[in-house]
Amino acid sequence: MRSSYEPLILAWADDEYVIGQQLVTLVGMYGPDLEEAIAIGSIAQDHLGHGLKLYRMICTDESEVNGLIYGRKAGEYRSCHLADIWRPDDWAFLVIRQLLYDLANRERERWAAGHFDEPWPGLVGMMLRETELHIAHWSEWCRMLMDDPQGRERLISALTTIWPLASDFFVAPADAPPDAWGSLQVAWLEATEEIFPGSLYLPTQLPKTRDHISGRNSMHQPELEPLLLEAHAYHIGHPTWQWE
Amino acid sequence: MAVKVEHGAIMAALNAVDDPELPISIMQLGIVKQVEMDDQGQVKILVSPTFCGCPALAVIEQRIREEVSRVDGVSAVSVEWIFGPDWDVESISTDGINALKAFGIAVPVINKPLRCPYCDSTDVVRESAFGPTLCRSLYHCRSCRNPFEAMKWLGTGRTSRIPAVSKGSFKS
Repeated sequence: MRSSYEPLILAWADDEYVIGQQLVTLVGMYGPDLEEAIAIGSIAQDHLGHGLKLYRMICTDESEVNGLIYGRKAGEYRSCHLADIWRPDDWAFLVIRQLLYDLANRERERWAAGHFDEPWPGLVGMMLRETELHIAHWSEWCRMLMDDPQGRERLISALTTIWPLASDFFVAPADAPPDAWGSLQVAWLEATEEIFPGSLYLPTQLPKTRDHISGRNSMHQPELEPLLLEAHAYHIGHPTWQWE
Repeated sequence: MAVKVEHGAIMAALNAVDDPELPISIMQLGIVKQVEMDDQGQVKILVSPTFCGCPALAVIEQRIREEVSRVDGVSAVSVEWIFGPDWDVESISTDGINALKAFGIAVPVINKPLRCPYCDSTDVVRESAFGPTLCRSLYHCRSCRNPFEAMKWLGTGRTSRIPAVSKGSFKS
């Protein structure tokens, strides 16, 4: 797809790729129980699968896809701060970040289903139903943590860090129309209000991200660079390998 | 003189292609959506994957090419992936459901309680929607106390049909 949506699709693909890689690093080493360690691997595959399909949407061949993934440094990625930030050893942090991201991503998928030309709405519909499963999963974890005093405390602590960064998701890249995402943020705020009970601290107004420090414009959270260095280590050693 | 390609022979070839992650064929799984043939022996297979990130797609595509190209009269085989919310557990054939059950994998049926593939009990609990492959979920049978897997229910693109997740307490 070559269109004015290309910068948005690249930013979207980067979000999915970065989150997929974060979860991959947790496979086999982290999860409150064995079932959750398996779930993390499965959800990571979903995110990476979405990312790969999105990269292919804006590329003409696989070498171009590989160039986008491995040929860019962290400073050239377009992922948002909500995708960049994570704490590998904090379960509550991961749960709330995943939930806030997937709720925002669902609104983006709904938007894309109504804006992209054929055949892409079909692919987006496929992504959407997978994202719904993620939301159900992370919502349930969120409810379980909120039912436990210590879990609730950790959840609120994580939310306090993440919430100010969340609006960066909705910043359009500099080479896209300023209002490209439309009213995604409004729909996302409504979705978060449905998920969280009023007793959990959740301000209805998001601090607005200044575009010039946005991840969409390559100003990232410090977690991104080491993640990509680790994820791309094989490519650095074997530059002819393809990601399939 | 060119040999006429028999539609039945193509279907038989496709039925010989097993899914690499399941003990059933891709026909039984219900991911083959259309077969097109022309007079020159060119065959095109349209396939719908179960999940976007399924890592088995390249292997399935290769196996389709290998099996179909062996059919008499076939001069070329192409495989086209259709990405859309077309596949769901309802796409699995009765033979496929029985083969999965014999392997210990249950298949949900809309508006019916899920049954343990080992003891047929409906006293089962979903442990996680996410299993060892993208298309499977984890369950526990409270009757025979066996863990088992079930094909992941996607709700055919309509999320209201996806059962609410309730880890450790969802009774299907």
